[in-house]
Amino acid sequence: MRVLIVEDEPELLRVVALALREEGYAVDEAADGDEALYKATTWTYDAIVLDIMLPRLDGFQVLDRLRKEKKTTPVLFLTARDAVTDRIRGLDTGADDYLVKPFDLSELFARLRALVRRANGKASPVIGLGTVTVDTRARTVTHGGELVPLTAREYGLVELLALHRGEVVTRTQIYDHLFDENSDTLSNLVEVHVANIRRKLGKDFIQTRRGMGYTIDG
Amino acid sequence: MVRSMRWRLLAWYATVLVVVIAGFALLMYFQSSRARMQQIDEQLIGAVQYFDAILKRFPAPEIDPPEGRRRARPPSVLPPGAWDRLELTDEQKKQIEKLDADVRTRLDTILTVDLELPPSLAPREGDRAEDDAHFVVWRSDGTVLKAAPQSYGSAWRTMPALPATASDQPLRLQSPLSREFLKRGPHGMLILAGKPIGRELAELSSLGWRLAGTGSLALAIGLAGGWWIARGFVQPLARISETAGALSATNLSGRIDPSRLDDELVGLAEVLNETFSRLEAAFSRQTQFTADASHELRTPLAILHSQIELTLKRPRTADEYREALETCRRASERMRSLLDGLLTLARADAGSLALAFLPVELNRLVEEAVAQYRDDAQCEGVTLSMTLTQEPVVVHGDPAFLSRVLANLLANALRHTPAGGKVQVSLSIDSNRAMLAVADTGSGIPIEDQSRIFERFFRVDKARSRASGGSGLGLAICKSVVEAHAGTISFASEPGHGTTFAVTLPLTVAGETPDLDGASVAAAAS
Repeated sequence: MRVLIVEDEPELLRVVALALREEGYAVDEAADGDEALYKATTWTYDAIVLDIMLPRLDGFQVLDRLRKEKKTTPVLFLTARDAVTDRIRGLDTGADDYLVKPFDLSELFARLRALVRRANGKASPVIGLGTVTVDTRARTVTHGGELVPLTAREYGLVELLALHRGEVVTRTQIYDHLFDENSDTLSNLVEVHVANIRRKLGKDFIQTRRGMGYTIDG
Repeated sequence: MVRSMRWRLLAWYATVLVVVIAGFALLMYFQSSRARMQQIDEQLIGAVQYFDAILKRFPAPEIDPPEGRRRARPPSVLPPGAWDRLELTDEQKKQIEKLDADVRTRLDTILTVDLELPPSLAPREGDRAEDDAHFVVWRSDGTVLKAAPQSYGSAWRTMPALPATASDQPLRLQSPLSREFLKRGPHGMLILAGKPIGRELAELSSLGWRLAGTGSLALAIGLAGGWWIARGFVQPLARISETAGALSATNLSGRIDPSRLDDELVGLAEVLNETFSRLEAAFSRQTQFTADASHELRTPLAILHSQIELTLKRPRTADEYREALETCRRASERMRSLLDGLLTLARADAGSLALAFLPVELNRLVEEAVAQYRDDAQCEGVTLSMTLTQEPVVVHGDPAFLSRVLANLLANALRHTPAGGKVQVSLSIDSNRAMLAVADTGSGIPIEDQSRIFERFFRVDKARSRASGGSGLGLAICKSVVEAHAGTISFASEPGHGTTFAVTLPLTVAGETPDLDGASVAAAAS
């Protein structure tokens, strides 16, 4: 999952980005509204964590313009102001959820997961794919009841394909969702991960659609 | 005592009305009364004078022949004995008798004196007997010579006594139901003429009642009208009260509409509206301040909270722990400094800064501050210098707070001056005030921000000052502290060239404590 964090407080940005990366997300960072808007419209994120108080363009304006550009990326906004009016305004401008600072990181993670789930039209945190079960809450994959150890990237790829089961996910989409802007994208890294997953979960778990991408249960 | 404006207005108005109407009615009544009486009096006096004049013209025996004496028949025109000597024919005798009769009648008329009321007082057709005028003339011995009506004479038992010293003018006798005048006549006679005024009194009484009635009605109508008008004047006031009363802590937007008010009230309405606007502004500043403060505090708290949560998620290396703890320290330091600043401002606002007022030698203060920042300046490649006065400059103030102000100004100057620049602190005396200036050759303050730099939480360059831990309260605190010392703080800045901040403070005259504002006098000088 690729996430954009927008926060002008450098220490906070650092800590939350680190936390999300440790959680297995690919994280992009932005410290002001202009940068946020640029990145949000250039790349596709699974979720955006947006601070309301930003220099230059403020959070509301970023959100507003994002929605006007028909970007439906789920947005969770952070507010340090205790005003109900702010929260209402944020939600009405097009945000999907909010958190008031200071917040628990675990709560942030849970809400992000819910946002992503909802965006992909899946309500349940557990996705069953035949003998394989993906628990998006625990971020684990079980095969025939047994826990399968996966790297963060591998899990990310499985989760992505599982959430889009029945659809073809292009390589570009995989890149966009699994690697942040700072990653060095070598085109065969995806194949390497796919191969590793096939080894762990079965050859037919992921199907290749030549020239298009990958899919599960297509 | 009723304090209502409306009631007081009405009470005064009623008083005036009563006085005017009653006064008018009384005036009318008494004028009428006097006129009537005067008329009667004149008639009576006239009658008395008339009798007097008549009586004076004739000798007493003519007026008042003694009892039994018949009037001497005047002799015939013929001398006595002529009747017999002359041989008169019957016709001649008749002529002479006729002539004699004529002469007799004439003489009778001339010699008979009869007293009667003059026409003006004479009874008229249709008058009641009890309203008729009367007169009495007494002889000098007290008996009644003539009285009209006849019976009237006997109503007076004795002749009224006229004081010997009384003048010749008719004297009015006191009598409740009639007007009586008495005069001394000739031959020791006494003349009295009078008229009952029962009817006149009744008429006046009736007039009086009519006046009272109309007056009361007029008063009632006037009062009612006044009440109604007063209501019209008092209503706008009630409306103003209502509008003002509708304002509450949460809703200060109501304003009085001055368009329909009278001129005198428009001024009041405008003043009130201005006051409400100031209140609204103050309240919204307050709300804004609270929101900003809340926001500023939550940020370092969020950093602290998230850093701790993240670090504790899994085992970390010693270096990671150390770094995490450093972050926590910085965040908590930030919170501490913010709370400190907020507390100072809150106290300054409430006037309870608890400043210790001592004589402070500014020269030393400047030296210490410059010494404190010398290393930092060197690190940044900025030249820090100071100019002091020869004589010590002493002000009355709290040394700790004043140091803080100076430190803040110096820190700001250093922060905004690039390497190679200069920061200069100067101390001088200018027309009985101490002047402290911190001048830098830094980036200056942008024109559009210049009016706001003393605002709480206002930062010119948000990102930069956040990184260095500035909360935006520094200058606001400086201003509050300086003003609590009865001083002033100002600045001059040219973007791209530099900024100079100037603080003036009242000098201490030996032995005298300067007159500080109420806010700081509240601070105990103990």
